[in-house]
Amino acid sequence: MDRLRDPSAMLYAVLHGLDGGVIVLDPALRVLAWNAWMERATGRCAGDVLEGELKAVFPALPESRVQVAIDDALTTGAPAVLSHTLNRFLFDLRRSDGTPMVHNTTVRRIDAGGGPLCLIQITDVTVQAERDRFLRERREARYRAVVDTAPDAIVTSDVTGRIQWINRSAERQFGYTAAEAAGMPIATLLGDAADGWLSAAGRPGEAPFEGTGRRKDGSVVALELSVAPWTAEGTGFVTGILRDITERKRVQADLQRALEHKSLLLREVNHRIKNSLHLVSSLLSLQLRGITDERLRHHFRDAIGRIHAVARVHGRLYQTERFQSVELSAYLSGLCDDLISASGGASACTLRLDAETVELPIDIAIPLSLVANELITNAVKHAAGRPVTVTVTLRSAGSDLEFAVADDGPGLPPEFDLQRSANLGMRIITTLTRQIGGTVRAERRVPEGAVFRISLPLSQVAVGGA
Amino acid sequence: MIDLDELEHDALAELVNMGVGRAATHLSRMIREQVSLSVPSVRVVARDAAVQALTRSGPSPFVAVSQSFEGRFSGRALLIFPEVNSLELVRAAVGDDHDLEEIVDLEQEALTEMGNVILNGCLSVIANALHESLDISLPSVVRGDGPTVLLGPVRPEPAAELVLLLYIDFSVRSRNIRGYLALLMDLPSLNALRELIHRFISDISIEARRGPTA
Repeated sequence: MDRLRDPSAMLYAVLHGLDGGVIVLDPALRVLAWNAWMERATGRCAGDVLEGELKAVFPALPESRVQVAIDDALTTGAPAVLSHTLNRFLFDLRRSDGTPMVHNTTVRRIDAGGGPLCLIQITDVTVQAERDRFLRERREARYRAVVDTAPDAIVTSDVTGRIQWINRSAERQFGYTAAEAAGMPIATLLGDAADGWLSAAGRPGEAPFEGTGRRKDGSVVALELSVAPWTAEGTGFVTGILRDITERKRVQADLQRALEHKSLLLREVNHRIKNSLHLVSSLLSLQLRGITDERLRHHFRDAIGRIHAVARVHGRLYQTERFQSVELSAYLSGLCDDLISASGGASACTLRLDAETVELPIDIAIPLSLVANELITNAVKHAAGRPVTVTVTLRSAGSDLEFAVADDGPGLPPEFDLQRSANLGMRIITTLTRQIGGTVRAERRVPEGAVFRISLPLSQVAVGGA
Repeated sequence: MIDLDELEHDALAELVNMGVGRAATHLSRMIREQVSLSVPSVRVVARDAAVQALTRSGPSPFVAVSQSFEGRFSGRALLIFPEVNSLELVRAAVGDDHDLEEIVDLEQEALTEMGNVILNGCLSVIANALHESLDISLPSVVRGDGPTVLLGPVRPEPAAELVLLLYIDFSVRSRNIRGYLALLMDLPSLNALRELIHRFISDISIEARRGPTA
């Protein structure tokens, strides 16, 4: 029992039973302790080593980090850890099977009463390092199988945008090897789109966006980027899938060009129709010169005015970007200006236009513009030399579009019946109104004048509908 | 709250710069690349102000290497990095030929050791210059937000603890990485440190008067 209680015998047994290396050095770096674990790991028994200098066992010692750590520990008491990650095989140690031992080391000062000593402890981490490597490789093999066969480039950066890793498709797409790319800022690959990359990093679930990539050789590639942030063991990363959409872009550009070409043709067609109609009206005007019969002249002028009204619609069609619809208020404003100047100046006639902005399909717009032409022309014509004020309104009222032409002229004759009128103008008005699904009413105004109201169901006139 | 006067401030900055200079030499040798470390500024602030400065500085979380020291002045020394920079630091240390997975695995240990070298550099230079012996613990790694790394996961009672807060700039393999160096001490420790600094300053003045031949 007494022998067991001998503390120094017990400590001796512990020292040699420890599952780690223990070396104690004095300030002259002579070995004072060398446990059984060290004997096994170095193949040098304590008897050979004790009292000798440590560098006799490890000749590389004076050049190594251990020397600094020992000096620090002895002089200032600052302990040091020396990890295998930064100091591979610091000491030349072997495992029992003869393979090199991966080890971690700590160096610290101890005080045994007679001044400072240096304690070096060594642990064998070969198994852990192997296991880490194995786990890493297995982890990697699994996702490499996915990402390296992916047709799209996949890039991972840290949250500051420094590239950590790229897949094979990315290597091919950008011309950098994964080793070259590691550590590069993402802007090297993405240019301005790098901003989108970093902002997507802060917002999970961001929609894909487009950008331009830059290859190593300086050429560019159109990309669609799907970027998402993620976290591994507390560290944030950003991974993006960079799809090459150069081909898609090219097809888009072709389509766009085809569309522009079509627009150009339509504009050209409308221009020619307008010119042809003007030509027709010019021919009629020439013919008019030779006619002296006032009734015939009248009919000619009406026909010319009607052709102008249709030509004006085509004129608007090629002047705007739309080819299948006309904005009626702008059209009416132009028509009113024309009719004023044709009627001999503003002194004889005042035209007031109060029109909402209404977009109408062309097959409604042409008949309605002819109706408008008839109504306004009539109002001006029947003023019988007196100054007259004609008010043209266009507005939506409930489910209808209402177009009205009011004047303060002599008013309608007592026997007037719109539906039975043999007058061409009135027939044009009723026929065309019916054709576009509308109704027309003529009313007398108090004290004098007349108003014609055209109602069209809005559902009938919607652009793109009917 | 104590303020260091200009002389004390300069002496302390000088000591810390000597410390990180020494650490840089060791790091350079360790990773076989030129490492330069510099400490552009030194401030003494209350603990809460240090937490705020850290939180304001940029992205959370942080990773810190921590070592305690005891002696005439006692406390805790911390090397703190935004976590986004710590991987970069490790990559800079171990080289570019490691892939991401490997670096994530190496990070903890490599960072512990690099932090250890830098903190030891500072602590031992300060201790040597002030002719003091310090009992210094082994390093450990803390992760978390500003308060967690500065105050520890178990927050102590609000005490008048002060923080000597320094920026530290790393430059290695053409990368520049900024972190913090923080020495947490209570008021008596900081006063003790201040006294020692005064003695250090007067020693230097005496040596200077004696001239270089002495």
